[in-house]
Amino acid sequence: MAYNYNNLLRNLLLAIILASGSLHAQEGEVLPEESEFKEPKTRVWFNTYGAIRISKRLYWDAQTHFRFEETENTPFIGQIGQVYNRHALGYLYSKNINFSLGGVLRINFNTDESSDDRNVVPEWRIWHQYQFAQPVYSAMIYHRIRIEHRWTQGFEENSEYIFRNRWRYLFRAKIPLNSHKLETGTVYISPEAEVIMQSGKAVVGSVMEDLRLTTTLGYILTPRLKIAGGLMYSQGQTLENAGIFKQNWTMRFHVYFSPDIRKVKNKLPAIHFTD
Amino acid sequence: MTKRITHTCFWALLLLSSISHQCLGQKRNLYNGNYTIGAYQGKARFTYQVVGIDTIFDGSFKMERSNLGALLKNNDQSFLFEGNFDDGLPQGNWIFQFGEFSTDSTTNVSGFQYSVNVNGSLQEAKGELNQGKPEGKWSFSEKKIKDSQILDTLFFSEIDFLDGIPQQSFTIGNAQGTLVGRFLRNGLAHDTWSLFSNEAYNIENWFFTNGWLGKIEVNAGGIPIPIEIFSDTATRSKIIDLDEGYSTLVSIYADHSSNTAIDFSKGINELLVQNSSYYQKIDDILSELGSNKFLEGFKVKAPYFPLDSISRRQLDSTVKLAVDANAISKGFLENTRLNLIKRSDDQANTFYRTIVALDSSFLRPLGTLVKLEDLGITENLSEDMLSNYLFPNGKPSAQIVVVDDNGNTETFLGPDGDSANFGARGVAGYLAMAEYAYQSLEQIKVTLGQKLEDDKQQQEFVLLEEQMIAQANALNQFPDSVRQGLSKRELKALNTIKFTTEVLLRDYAEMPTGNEKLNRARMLISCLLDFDALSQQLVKLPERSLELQKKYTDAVFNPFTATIMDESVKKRISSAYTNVLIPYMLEKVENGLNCENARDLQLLFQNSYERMLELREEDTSKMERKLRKERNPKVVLQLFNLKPLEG
Repeated sequence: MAYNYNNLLRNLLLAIILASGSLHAQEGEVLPEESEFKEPKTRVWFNTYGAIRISKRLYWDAQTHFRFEETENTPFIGQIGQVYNRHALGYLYSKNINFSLGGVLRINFNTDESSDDRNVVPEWRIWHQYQFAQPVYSAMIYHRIRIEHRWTQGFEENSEYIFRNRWRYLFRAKIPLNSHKLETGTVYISPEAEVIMQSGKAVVGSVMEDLRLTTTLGYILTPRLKIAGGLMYSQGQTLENAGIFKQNWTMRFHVYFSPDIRKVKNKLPAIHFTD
Repeated sequence: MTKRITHTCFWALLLLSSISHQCLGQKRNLYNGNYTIGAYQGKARFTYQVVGIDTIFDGSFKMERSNLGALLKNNDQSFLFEGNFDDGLPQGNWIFQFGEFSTDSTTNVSGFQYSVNVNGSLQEAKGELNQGKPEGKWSFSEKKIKDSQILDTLFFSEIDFLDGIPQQSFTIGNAQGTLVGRFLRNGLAHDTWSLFSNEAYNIENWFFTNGWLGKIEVNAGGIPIPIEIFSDTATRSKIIDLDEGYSTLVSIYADHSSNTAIDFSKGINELLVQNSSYYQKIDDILSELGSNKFLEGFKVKAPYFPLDSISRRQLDSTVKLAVDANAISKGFLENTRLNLIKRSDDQANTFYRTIVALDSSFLRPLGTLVKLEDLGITENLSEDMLSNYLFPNGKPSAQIVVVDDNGNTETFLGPDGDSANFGARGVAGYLAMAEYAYQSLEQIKVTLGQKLEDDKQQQEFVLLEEQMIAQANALNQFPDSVRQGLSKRELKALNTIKFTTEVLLRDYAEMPTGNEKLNRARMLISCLLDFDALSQQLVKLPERSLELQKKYTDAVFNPFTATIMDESVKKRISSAYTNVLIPYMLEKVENGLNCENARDLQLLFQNSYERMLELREEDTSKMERKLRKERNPKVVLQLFNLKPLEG
């Protein structure tokens, strides 16, 4: 028991020393004296979000994103970065609570112009998320917890997959600007903040993968179709060195569609789960 | 050998079965169910035969009705008819019962049955029938029932019959007294018929000799007053039924011979009439069942003064003319309009008074003659008796003097009044009077009828025009709050209705008075009703539009916002209604409204709205495809399955 106590104290001390940044963070990499912030990259994302209703409580969550980033000559849309396929089975617990479980296949393109390595590598994820919505006056606010189990590899030939977990929390509001509620014809503004933490053997110190601050302007065309566009600033520790932060400015464009493929007779009553 | 025997047996059996089949052809069928005889409806159970296409009662018959529900609620009229038929005619013992009961709802339970206390009356007739005719003793009774017990006998009668002819002595009684009398074997009244009070006190006697009623004696305060009826000097006599006609005849003869008036609503006559009505009631039922021989058959003798064939024809003509003249007279005297205009129109007033005079001098006496003829006793009165009876104050004159309220007199003389001979003896005189009265009334009818017709038309105009103006004023009288909800287009259509109404009324006003104008007025009233209905449809449009909008909206859950949003459904249908049909109908009102299409238009507004309500629920995918970009209202109407407007 006494031994355990001493052990704990020793580990605690080590943690404090590590946090002070005066020691090596990772084998082979040396933490800088002060955090270093890379020059921001510019990017543009085109995202489609589908929520296809298949039964009273289940829907198919289908997302496809096309992510571009700058090249030396062209900001924002210079080259394709990733193509993102995210699918899940969603469950509507109530109007305000839903859960999803599914997989992601992300195609990563090598955007390092000087690299001789492979151009394209896949990345696999299993993800589940828990979303809570809440009306506040005429607006809605949302809390989203998303957990991803992620297998990535580098562009080098024969590079090994590394496994990481991602812990994401997103807070978002949708505030109607020209209406007393979110309905057809409404223009709304949506500020959001998301923090993405990560863990895994490969993650040493770089626990904050990304912090995203976004503001979007949206428009509801019909109850089944809306569009949005906005600008996101994000920063996060690089995996290689926890003292070095990457930064991005991203333009985002979204299309949200939610068709209902149920037969007419099954749609009634439309959405009344428990109320 | 064996085969041959078998063969013979087979034919014998076939013959036997065909004979038995012939016999069975006469077999009785049983009916058991609801049945109606005249005014009686109830449950019947009887046997019958079908002979050719005829159904003939044969065997037992029972029909009854009683209703506990009706008894408890108010009162119940029950009945029971039970007896036998033989080859279509009533035969054997029969019983008829008629009850009229109410209850105080006092109930008793005895064993496993509830019994209910009843009050009311029970009529019963029973006896034997032979080929439909009464045979043996027939008894009738009516009893008063209180608390399910017999309280009193209201009527009874017992008569013996032989082959439908009353025999020997009979008794008929009611709460006041009892009549006893007797018949000869041929049914003629004979000997003294006496009425006794219930205290056995002699009230009235009729003295018959072989059916001939020589004298009636009425006991007034213990003193018998004799009244001679048919004198012995009459030359001829005839056997007739003792019925209402005979009663009338007796009262006429009694009045003629005596100053003592006999009250025929009481005494012996009352009992005879009562008895006759009970027999009639049974005869009515048996007649419906195919036999009309149930009569009490009392026979009497009366003086007889037969008419020759000329007089008979004249009498028939007299009766016909008197009936026709009376109808004309009654029509005028009961005419409310004549009663009104006689107050302001002197000529009408004179006519009215003339009709009153003709009625009292000619038509009433002739009406009495018609009644005697109906009773069949005209030929039982001598010429003088008849004349005195019909005209106790002498025959009227053809000249009718009418005096108005101011004492002015005016004389009316009908067609051929100068040559009319009312004084002729016998029927000829009556015929002359009937002809004169009829012709006079016909003459008056020509002038007075036209006067009434004009007045009627005038009155009708006033009424119709009042109604028309009220309708026109009421049209478009909607409160501002209603009008403000209307679109410009709808208001315009509403104003078109008002404007069209004004034009129609102006054109009507310019028409010359006459039947055509009257018809136009009637048409306009129905037209303005349609206009009003159309206006009502127009003012409902905003409210209906909102209602349909709501009906054609679904609540849809959006998973991205986690909110419920309203979604318009079947947009092509609602759009076709709002953007094609409504403008089309409004356009029709604005540019083509008239009396002929107003009704169709208002129906189209109504029907299209109702159709929209239906379409929301129906599977319309095919129709929606066809409606895509369809702007032609006629095609839309067809797709909506609505009747298009004509023209």
